[in-house]
Amino acid sequence: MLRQIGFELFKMSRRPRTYLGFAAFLVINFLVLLGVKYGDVGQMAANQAVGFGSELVGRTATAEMMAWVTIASFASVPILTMFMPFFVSLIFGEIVSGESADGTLRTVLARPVRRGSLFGAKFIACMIYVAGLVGFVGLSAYVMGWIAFGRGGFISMGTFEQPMITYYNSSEALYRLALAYGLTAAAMAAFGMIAFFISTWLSNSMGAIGGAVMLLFAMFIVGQIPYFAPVKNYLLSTHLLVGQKAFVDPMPWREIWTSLSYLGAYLAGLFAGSVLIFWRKDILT
Amino acid sequence: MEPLIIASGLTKRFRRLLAVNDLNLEVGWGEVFGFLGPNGAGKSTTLRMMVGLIRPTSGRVSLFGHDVWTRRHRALKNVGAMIEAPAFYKYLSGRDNLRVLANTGGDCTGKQIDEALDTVGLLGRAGDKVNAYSQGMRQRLGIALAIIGKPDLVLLDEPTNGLDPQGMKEVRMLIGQLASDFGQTVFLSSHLLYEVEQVCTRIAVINKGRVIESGRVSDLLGGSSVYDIKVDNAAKALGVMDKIEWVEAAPRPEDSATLNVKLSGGDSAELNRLLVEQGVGVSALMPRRTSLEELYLSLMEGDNAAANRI
Repeated sequence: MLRQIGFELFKMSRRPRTYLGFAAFLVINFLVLLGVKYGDVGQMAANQAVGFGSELVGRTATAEMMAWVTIASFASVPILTMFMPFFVSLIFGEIVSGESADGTLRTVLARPVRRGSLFGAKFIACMIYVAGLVGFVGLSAYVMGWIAFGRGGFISMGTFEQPMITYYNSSEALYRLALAYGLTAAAMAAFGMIAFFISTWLSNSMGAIGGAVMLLFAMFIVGQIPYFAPVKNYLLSTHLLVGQKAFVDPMPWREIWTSLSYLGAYLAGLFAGSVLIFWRKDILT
Repeated sequence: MEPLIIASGLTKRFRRLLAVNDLNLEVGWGEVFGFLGPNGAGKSTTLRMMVGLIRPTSGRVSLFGHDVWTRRHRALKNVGAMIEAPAFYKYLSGRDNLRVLANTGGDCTGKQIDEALDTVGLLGRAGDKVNAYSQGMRQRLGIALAIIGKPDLVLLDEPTNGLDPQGMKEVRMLIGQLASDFGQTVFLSSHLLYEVEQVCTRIAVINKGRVIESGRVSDLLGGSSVYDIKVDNAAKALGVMDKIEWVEAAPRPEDSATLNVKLSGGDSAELNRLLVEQGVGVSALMPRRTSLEELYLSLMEGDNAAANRI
């Protein structure tokens, strides 16, 4: 199994599309850095949190703040709801259906490998990818911020839903950042499982990638319609930005655990469904 | 010893299409077994069921005594297979493809990989990405994957597709070598009759999902009971043979000096002696073999006619 995971990662590492997400986020982080350094993003966030007319004085930008801005505030909407799901689905959506479409799944499964073992290796490789990508976003934002501003904690304006001004010193900021990125990785893994599930079902990676992204947008829209309020909690989109909750004081552990439960249920349910499909799948391509 | 491949009552239905219908087959150790049939007869579906790519609707296949679907790892542990057109990771080199694929569920050293690449003549291009390979080179790589580590059973589906005549000849020789030099069993699915006739010891012919004929190639092709005899006086020879009970003779319409002769007893040497004693000069006595192509076409014709009657 370990060797199989190694092969999956090796194959992944040799595909240019694997690096698209990393390259894109490097560019996005750089743009965020420019926004923080020259565009006064800190003041914009303060305006959002406590209203116009407020004024932040002193040094507001640090490495921690840059990483926080990337995950929680300024860049969160485009990054977390558009870019990252796209890049995650690009990998998750291709890993089974892509091999099925080009016939390599036939070549692999004609070898003495257990289907469960192969499937598990692909799943774990995807999880490693998503952890790597989210970790890279956080680390690159932090390193860029360190180079540009140095270290030093940050003033959090809370989240979009719960605006509030709180100061976190450097060590607490780091802890909350690590938690935020961990939660984001979990959310992205749960979303990626939609693409993975469709991928085991179809022999068309574009269908899996597009289908997963479309489904996410559909959930976002449904979540905004008051009529569907009773089911909002069951939608994956509701829990996708769980990482932002790490910047609320006091830490809303109950909400975080609730979101994690829903994400876990998505992950487990879709994984079980995918295993069942893959186990019974006739390889005809 | 238990046969190496046993397919019993193997059936696969895709909705309305009955692709394989109650197929029964046994292949013994060391055989080179030919699996013949027209396009769409169910050859590839059968092969896919043999390696567990497709789940049978009913019936079972076992390799080395292990059911392929329920004990997949054990059944395929000693099997190398090339099913239809070989598909590889185009962004990896030929060697990396073999390294990844041959070690998937198996254990293969770099030396074994290089040996397989050398056998199929790809060692010099092993570092190139598969993307840059021609169809023939991919076919060779597929064969390399199937024979790597010298598995006891090699399943080959149309292995000479896309190869030039020299390549086809090399593959035929390689198949013969696998059985004679290494004692490997080869299951060869093909519609190239000449290829099968050259290398296979036993065959099964499949049509519309059913086996319509099977047996040893030499038995199916009729042995040597039919001869062409070239004589100096055809009328006199016919007169002589008319008196021999175990001989049926007829002149060949296109060549009056050559007679078609079928022996139902006695042997060709005895016939030759009798003709010469009666003063007939015999310049040639050639056993005539039914070609596999003739046998195959007559089987297909018969089976299709029977199906039409039903």
